[in-house]
Amino acid sequence: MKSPTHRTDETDRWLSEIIEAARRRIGDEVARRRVWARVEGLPAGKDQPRRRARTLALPALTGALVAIGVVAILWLVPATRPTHAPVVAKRAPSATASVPQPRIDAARVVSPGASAAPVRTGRGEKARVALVGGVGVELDADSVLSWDAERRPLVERGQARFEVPHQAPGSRFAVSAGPYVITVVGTKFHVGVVDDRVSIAVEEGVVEVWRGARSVRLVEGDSWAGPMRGLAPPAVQHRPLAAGVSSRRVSLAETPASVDSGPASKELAEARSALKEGRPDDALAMLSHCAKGAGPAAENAAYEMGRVLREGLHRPRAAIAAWGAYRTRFPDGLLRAEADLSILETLAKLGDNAAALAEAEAFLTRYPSSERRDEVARLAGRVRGAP
Amino acid sequence: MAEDHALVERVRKGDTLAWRTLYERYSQPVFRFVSALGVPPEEREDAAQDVFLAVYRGLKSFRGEAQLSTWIYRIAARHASHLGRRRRMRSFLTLLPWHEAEPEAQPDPAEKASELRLLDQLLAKLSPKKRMVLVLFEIEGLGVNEIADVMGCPPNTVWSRLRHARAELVKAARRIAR
Repeated sequence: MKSPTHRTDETDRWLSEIIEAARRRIGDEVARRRVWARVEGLPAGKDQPRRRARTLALPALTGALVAIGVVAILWLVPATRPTHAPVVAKRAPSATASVPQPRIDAARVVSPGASAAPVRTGRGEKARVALVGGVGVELDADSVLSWDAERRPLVERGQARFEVPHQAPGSRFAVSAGPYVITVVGTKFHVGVVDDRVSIAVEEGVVEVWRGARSVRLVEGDSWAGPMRGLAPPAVQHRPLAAGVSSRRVSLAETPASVDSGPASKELAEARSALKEGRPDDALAMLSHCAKGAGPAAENAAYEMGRVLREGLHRPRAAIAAWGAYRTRFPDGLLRAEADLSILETLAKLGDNAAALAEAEAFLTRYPSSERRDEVARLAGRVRGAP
Repeated sequence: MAEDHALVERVRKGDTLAWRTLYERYSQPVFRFVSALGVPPEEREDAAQDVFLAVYRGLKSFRGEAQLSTWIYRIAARHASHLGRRRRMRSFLTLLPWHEAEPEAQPDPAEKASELRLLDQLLAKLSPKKRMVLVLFEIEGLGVNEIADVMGCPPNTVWSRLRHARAELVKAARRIAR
């Protein structure tokens, strides 16, 4: 890496510092994972990217003219662009709550910049909300739907059922609920925020639930629940589904980097199955064997050993040692930040405040622009204040 | 370099682990590079996807004359330039009286550090070519010959653009500091 030329004055030094910050830019890990999910199947000739990629160079003048024409038309007709701003909220009166929901007609369009008022339902009252892009929301009784800072629908309280038509290439519909962001391409799903727990059940299609850099992928018939607050990963919760729909339990342990399809990953998959079947000792043995190999499966196994030790075998100190070994072996691994956070939260739970504080400070130094910076800073503050 | 070529060979044969290794090795530089070139947060994901799609398709014809990293930067640079042109066209169209104003771009929540936002503002004052040279040299750490290879221009042109880009950047920074 070259250093900038001889800069002597204050401005030059400051410039050097911000350029150095740009070199360390770690970017959005969630975005990186999402892109991987879309390109991972290319060698196997499957899972073609959902978004049709544009060619990088225009093949001929005719093509260029057509493209310019299309672009011009698209941008001259802005009303056709889907946004997630609310269009209309029609509330069914209390007296009609038990009758079929009112049909939603075209109505007043709220411009994307306008601040939309939350939609609230009282007891025995239901509401239907239509969002631009053809997204329909059925809001159950005693619920609140508002919009977060990024203008995504936010289920503040109660239950909501979303019906999302297939989105235009390149766009995703997202819903917030507590610390989670649920992203979909096109599907029907329920979101509930009740008693400090967020629950999601998928009727059709596929959704992804994100919290920081961790995610879980749910398919038709799956249900999932997680806590509203705290650093701990969400616990698995089974939610009864409609008759005839098979259910499948899922946990975040399946997914942080579960993009394995090579031969070495077979053992990793078996270890996960053993863990799900309540055989943590077997899972640990398989993971330990797998971690001795090389490649992404070994890296995942080295990380997941810590999770099995902490959550399956209730050996937090051994878990910290396993994540420490992961860090030594994969100092720049894909799950490095997860390992750092796991160690930090485990130390905090153990009450080892001095070590937790050192970890928190190291995390803040290592990831100055992490989206979880505030969370870690808060935790460090709590640890500092502890006796 | 030999390691990269072995990796390319494995990907060509359909080895999914090799493909993941390649992605892990180059996805962060690609995201960082397109970010530094001014691709807004909401377009970075699609940009990176297009780059890796092009990389995968192009691997069949990758002859190994350039380093794999240089070749990937070349694809990313071409794609970022294309997106830049599209953004400028969009900005131009918003000037038309009957066109609805563009919604304001949201900052990337993962990049709240003020110095990065400031650097993006400063880099935005450079012409696309000067910006690319500066980013490749100062942030990505490429050598002048590699940059010349990425941009398809002589090394002397790279030096010249780099000199002007630095001078303009310092000038813009001093203006802000005042």
